[in-house]
Order: sequence, then structure tokens, then C-alpha cells
Amino acid sequence: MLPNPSLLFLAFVTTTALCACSAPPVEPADDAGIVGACKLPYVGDPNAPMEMDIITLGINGKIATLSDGSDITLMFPPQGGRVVFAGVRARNVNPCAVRIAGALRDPLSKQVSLDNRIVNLEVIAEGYAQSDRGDISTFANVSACPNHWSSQDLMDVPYEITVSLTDIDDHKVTKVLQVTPRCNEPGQIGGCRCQCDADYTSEMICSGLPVDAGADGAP
Amino acid sequence: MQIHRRFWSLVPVLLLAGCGGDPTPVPEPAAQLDPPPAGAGFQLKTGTFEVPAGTEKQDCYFFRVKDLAAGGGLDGNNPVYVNRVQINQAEGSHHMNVFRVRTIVGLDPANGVVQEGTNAMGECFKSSNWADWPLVANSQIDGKLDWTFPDGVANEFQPDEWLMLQTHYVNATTQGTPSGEGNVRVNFWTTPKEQVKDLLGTLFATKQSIRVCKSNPAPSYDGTCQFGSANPVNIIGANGHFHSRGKEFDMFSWDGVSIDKPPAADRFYTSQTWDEPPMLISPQLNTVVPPNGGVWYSCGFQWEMPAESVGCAGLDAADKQMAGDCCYTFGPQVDKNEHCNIFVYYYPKTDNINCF
Repeated sequence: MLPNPSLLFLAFVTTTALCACSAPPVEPADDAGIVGACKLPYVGDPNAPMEMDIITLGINGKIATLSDGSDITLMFPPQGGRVVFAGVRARNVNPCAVRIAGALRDPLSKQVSLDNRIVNLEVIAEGYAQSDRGDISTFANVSACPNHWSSQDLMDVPYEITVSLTDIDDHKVTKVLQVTPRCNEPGQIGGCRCQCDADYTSEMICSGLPVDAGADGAP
Repeated sequence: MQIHRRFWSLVPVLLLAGCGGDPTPVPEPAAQLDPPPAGAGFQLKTGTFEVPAGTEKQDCYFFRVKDLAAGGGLDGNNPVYVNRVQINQAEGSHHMNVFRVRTIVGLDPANGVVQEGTNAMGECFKSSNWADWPLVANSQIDGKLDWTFPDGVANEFQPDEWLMLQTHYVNATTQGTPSGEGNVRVNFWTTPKEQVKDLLGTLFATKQSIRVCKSNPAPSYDGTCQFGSANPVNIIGANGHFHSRGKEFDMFSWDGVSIDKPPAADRFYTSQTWDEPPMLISPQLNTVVPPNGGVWYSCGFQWEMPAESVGCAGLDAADKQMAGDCCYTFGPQVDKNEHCNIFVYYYPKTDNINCF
């Protein structure tokens, strides 16, 4: 489809107007630093295969390493609903700008909810890099509830969790585990069980909305 | 469905306002939109309000459906079915959303039908207050919309429902309000129940756990949201919302089971212009999503130095994590915060869907 002539002219006018009165270039401020300057060191042996465990952020900010059959807490995040915080602990990895891909799958319907993001990992003392317990944005925030997607309750039955880690050099490792989501965050259990029920609809008033996410309206 | 762009009125504004310090600002006229004729619908409006330089204004207006309907010459005791939405706003709007009121947290129509917020202060700025309120209609910076849904498709409203119109005007560094005044009018045109074949549903999804930082300058965030329908659904409206660090916003039709990003052929929406995001609507947009499918969306960002008036010190002061990394974090203020939100309109309705 050809561009609208009016819009083409508008683009010309805009360009002309901007060029005719362009301001001198703005010098970077002293604190600009080097853009993209992730200064974290490589973690481990660059010639060895990447190793990764799936970790989760749970009650009171506690990190747990997941294994087959683990429970995983459905957490009440600042944005509302309930999420699974799926993170990684890894070595033999460049911790800068890694991609974490987390997915929760209903084993009956095969339906999945996922969250992928590019983050810097935290380098920890034991020779590993991992999602930062103080920063939920370094975990995949896998949206679980309100339950618009699963054929069964999102709590107390087995689900499949998949987490992939890809570093900037395109090294990738993936793990798949069976886990059981639980509504066990103190003070949030009723709202969790309501929103995560297989029969949830938006007509239901579930308790446990965000109390105060701060001055962060959307959009 | 048409988007009306007041092209010729923009030309002098661009010519004159393109250079900073112009001595003769050109104010935009207030929003002009007559209400539907009696019996054909009703209007939600704000009146004119001030948006002084250096401020962001976000106000919440409450309306009860039965009052709106009765005021429009309709039967206020029965549901109404809306099949056409018109929006007209004075220039400077950052966004306008209409929600159905659900769980009351900090925003209660009992506390007043107008609740104002300025520069991120006030209940109308706190997204936790409308976390489970389904979207009804929205527009962004362009501020104008005239959308008639496909034949037989309508949005149903119950008489006792409250609606909340939220308007956000920005008169700051990254966006301006030339007249220093805001004004919003929204028309809901109705159709008889007998002519309704399918109800309209909405899907709102958001990434709020996002950070665009100097040490990780090109992050991207992907998420998914299902319609929960055993039958195909038709997406007939879509728009994405991010701020000026946003570089690419994409939405794809998705099968609900794949964990790999859908192919380019399944992309039905893309935006690379944060300040003029496409508002795609039918008949131009009519994407069929397979049974049990949904939407995959992706927001890509590029960190940049904040405006001099904000500086890294301003971003660091607003960062709840106090990372000291000059991060733009989730929030409403365009100079300091970022967003990654999608608004999708579809039929037949399964539910009004929110994904967090």
C-alpha cells in the first residue's frame, strides 16, 4: 500500500522543521559512562559447557533451587495477580545481557504461560552467577493467575516448568522439571486460591489485590 | 473504522513549535465532539482542565452506566450494547483509558466522581487501584478515534456498573500540551440487543517488572496471554504502549502452547514510534487466533541518557531498588519511567482478561 500523501508531506514538514532549527548536540553528562558498560567478569571456564540450575524466589525473598517434584510458591508480585519467579544459577557463562526464558505448562492441556527477558546476572561468591534475589526483574515473572489459561487449578497439582538461559555468545542451556505450584504465601492464600482456580472469571472479586504498588500507574 | 488525523491543523503547529523558545505558541482547540442524538448513545466527558508546564496530570472520572444511559435518552434499567466508540481529546493526551470498576482499593467513586492526580501523586496514579478493572476503550497520544465494530458485535454494560475514565496529560520534556489545557470526550453509540450476535471482549497485558539500565542498555521483554476460548477468536483492535526508550513493540497471534517466538508471518502489530503508536482497528485489523490461542507480545528498549532536568540522579532517586544504575523503571512519568502494555479487543467474548 502506498503511503498517504498527507503523511508523506507531514514527514517532510517535520524533518524540515527539525533541521531548520536544530540545537547544538548535547554533550553526554559526566555520569553517562560507557553505554552498555556491563562490567561483570566472565564466570567460570569459557571453554567448558554452560551449567545451570533453576532457582525460584519465594517467601521472604528466599531463593530455592528447584528439582523434579519441588513445590513452587505462587507469589503476589507488585503488578498484581500471581506469578512464578523462575531464575537461574549458572557458571561458565558471561553474566551480561543473558536471556532468561521461563514457562509454566499445564501437563493436561499443554497450554503454557511464559516470560522471556534480557538481564544481567549477579555474580556471587561461590563462583556462580544468578538471578538477583533483590531484583525480581532478573527472574522470569511467569504470569500464572488470574487463571485464564489452564484447564485445571493452578495450585496443588503438578505442572511443568521450563527455563532456558542463553548468553550473549549464543550458548544455551535448557532444563525442564515437574513442580507443584502452591498458594502458601502468608496473608495471600485466599486471594491466590480464588484467582488460581480453574473456574476463575473476571466477574469474581478475589481478595489480594496489590496493596500499594506505588505511584506507578498504567499505562 | 477510521482514525481521523487532523493533518492540516498539525502543520502550523509543527512549523511553529518545532523550534524551542517560539514566542507565539499555537494552542489547540478544546476537544469538539457532539454527543449522540437522544436514544442513540451517550457521552462521557471531562470538561476543560489545566495542564501547567512541567506537570503530568492524571485524573479519574467515574460514571454510572444507568445515569449515562438515562442522560442519553435510553432505558437506564436495562443493559446497553455499545457498537461504536468515538474519542476526541485536546492535544497533549498521553493516554486515555475507560475501565469497568471492579474491586475497590484506593479509588472509590463514593469518594467523588472526579479524583485528580498530579506528577505521580494521588490515587489516580496507582495502578494497584485498578488491577482487576477490565478495559473498555483506550486511546493514546493521537487522541482521536472513531471505531464502529463489525456488524453484530457489541460491548455489553449493566445498569449498575461504574465506569472510570482515566485521562493522562503531559506537559513536560518528552511530550507537551500546547494549549496548557486538557479536554476529553468519549461517545458510546448503542445498538438494540436484538442486533447483537457476539459480545466484544478485551485483553490487557502488562510487564511491570521491567528495568532499562545503563549497564543493560538493550533489554527486551516477552509475554503471553490466552483468550481461553475453545473456538477461534477475532482480534479487531490492538495497540501497544511504551515510552521514549521503547524501540519496537510487537504482537503476534499465538497457539497457546509454543514456547518459541511466533514467526514474523503471525505478527499482526508492530510499533517503532513510541509517541505515535498505531491504533489498529477493524476492518483493517481482523486477525483470527486459533482455538485455545492467545497473544504473544514483545517490548524492546534502548537505554539513553535522561533529560538534563532529570539526570541519572533523578532516575536513581526514583528507583525503589536504589541500584544506582541510571535505570528507567515501570511507572507513568514519561521522563523517568517505562511501560510495556498491550490493549487488545476481540470477539466472541470469553471473558475480560488481564495478564500480569
